[in-house]
Amino acid sequence: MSTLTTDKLTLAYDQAVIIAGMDMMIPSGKITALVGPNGCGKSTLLRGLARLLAPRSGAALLDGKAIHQWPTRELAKQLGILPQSPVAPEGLTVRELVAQGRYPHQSWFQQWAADDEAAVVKALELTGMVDLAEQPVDALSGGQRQRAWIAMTLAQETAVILLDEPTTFLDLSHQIEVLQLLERLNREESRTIVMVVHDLNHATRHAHHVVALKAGTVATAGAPTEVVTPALLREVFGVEGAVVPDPRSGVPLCIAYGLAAPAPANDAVAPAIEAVNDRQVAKLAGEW
Amino acid sequence: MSVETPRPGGAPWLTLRTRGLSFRIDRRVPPVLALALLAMLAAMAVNIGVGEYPIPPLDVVRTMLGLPTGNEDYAFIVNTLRLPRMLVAALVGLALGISGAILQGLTRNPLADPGILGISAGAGLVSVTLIVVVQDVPSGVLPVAAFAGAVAVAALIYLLAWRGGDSPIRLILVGIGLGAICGAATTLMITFGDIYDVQRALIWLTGSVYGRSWDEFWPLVPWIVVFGSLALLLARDLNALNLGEDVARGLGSPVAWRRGLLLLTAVALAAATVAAAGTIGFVGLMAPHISRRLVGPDHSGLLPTAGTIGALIVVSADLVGRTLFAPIELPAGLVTAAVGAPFFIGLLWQQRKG
Repeated sequence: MSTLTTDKLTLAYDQAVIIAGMDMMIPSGKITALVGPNGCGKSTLLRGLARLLAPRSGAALLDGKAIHQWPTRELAKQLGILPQSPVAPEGLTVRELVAQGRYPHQSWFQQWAADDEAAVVKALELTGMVDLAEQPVDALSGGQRQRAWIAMTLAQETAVILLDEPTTFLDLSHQIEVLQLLERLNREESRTIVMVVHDLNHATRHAHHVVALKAGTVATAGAPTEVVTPALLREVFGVEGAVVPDPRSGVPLCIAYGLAAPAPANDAVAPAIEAVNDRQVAKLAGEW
Repeated sequence: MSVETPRPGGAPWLTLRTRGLSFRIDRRVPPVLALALLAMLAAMAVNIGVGEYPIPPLDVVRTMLGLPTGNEDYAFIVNTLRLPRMLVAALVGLALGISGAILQGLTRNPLADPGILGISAGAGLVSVTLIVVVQDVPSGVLPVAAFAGAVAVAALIYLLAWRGGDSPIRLILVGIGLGAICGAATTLMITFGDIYDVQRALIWLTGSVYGRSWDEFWPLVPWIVVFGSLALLLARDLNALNLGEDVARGLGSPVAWRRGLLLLTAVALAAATVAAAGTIGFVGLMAPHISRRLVGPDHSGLLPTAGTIGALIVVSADLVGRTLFAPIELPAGLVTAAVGAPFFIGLLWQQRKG
């Protein structure tokens, strides 16, 4: 089973250091949620784990070997990444998109082996996209489109799947559709799933392990019931709130009441403050 | 070995599998390719037939196949005078179609085209400079010079527009700007040139296959063969890059050098056409769009289709240019621009809405 860890990982864009000397472990076979306020570096960390961003120092390791030392194709058989809001070329059908997931398993002479065909059919079945397979991706609803991209990542047949905000820009039912799909993939296919999520309640309900980031460091990590507390809301997100057990499942449910008094202007709920934070992120990240 | 035809509800592609080899291609590709090729050959035969000394298309075909036609002049007119011109037109269209398809896939920009991006203008500037300054340029040197100019412009576009994100409009604006600069510099060269050289440069710059002989055809061939094959070899990588840089990297594509190789291929193909026929615009824009409608966006089928459609466009444009106001000949580049400019504006309009 593939294990993903970081060893004093430092990630930076030009001059701005986003993740500073982080040591962290992703539990195998579980769903891990990376949470934190805007600009905390959770998406940057995910990019670092996926070798989309080279480390300034330290390393992200897969099975103890630095991911930047893996041949990129070999790594792509172990680790799949779905970036935030990917855009499919106009007219590309779902089946063609999913078929692209087979890229690391193919060579010029073996462009479409029986394995490839089988993996694509299986990915379409798992994501419930069989009936939509011949539709162009750009004609689908947001939730269907996200399922199509997840199917592509599934066809890659990797033990670990990284997803950057898989539910952004989706309405509520589509968010749940995607999160339940990820749960099922984890349960039935024992894939290790690491996702950046914006909504803390999605993390507590759908993840086994939560890593809360603050200003480029791990504030706390562990099972949702252990780490998601009013103190976490205050110290990491800067909001005053309550954490109550979900009436049905018993997982922690966060309710934000207002901004914590002297806290930094970081908040995962209020849109006005998000806009401010997005500008800060842009400033932090420089002109990359 | 097995060739599977798609079942109802099954995959929309043809699969070929044998020991150690497996390929798939969209099932629309073979018929579309065959029809486009036939149409192109027909346009060629008609085009060879028209002129001051008309030859019936059937006799053109017979002459090319070496069959007797009852007229001994035909062989000279067809094989020496008119055939090389047609073959140059076809190869130029082929290269432009493939070049445009690569550029559009690579930049994920439906407006990309070697002409619009200024790559052809860069090739033109260096070639004209060479014609004016060095004068007797051997025809084998011209493609190399054109290639150097095209690479320079491509590198500038990459530095100025692409590296800072992939905004389609910015890429196009920078390309048009660089193209205008190269155009102005070309005009300047012509102003200072010797009258005889200038005339030669001007005819060539309008983008025409007028008077092209085997001397222009043969230097073109290796460029098309080498870079055309390279394009086909890289079709899978182009598919991956067409999903965006992050997705391609996540799929295990060595993004930096595959992208570089593809860009080089597109630039080399465009430069070779400029060296042979000057700047014939908008073919690299239109051919991939038409082909995408016909065979879908998978580049292993799209690249050959765009090439064939490109050849059909240039051969037809030459035919129209020769017959529309006969005996006056319009250069093929003028005809493609007359059709291509509205096409471009239509695409811009779509972009604005999207």
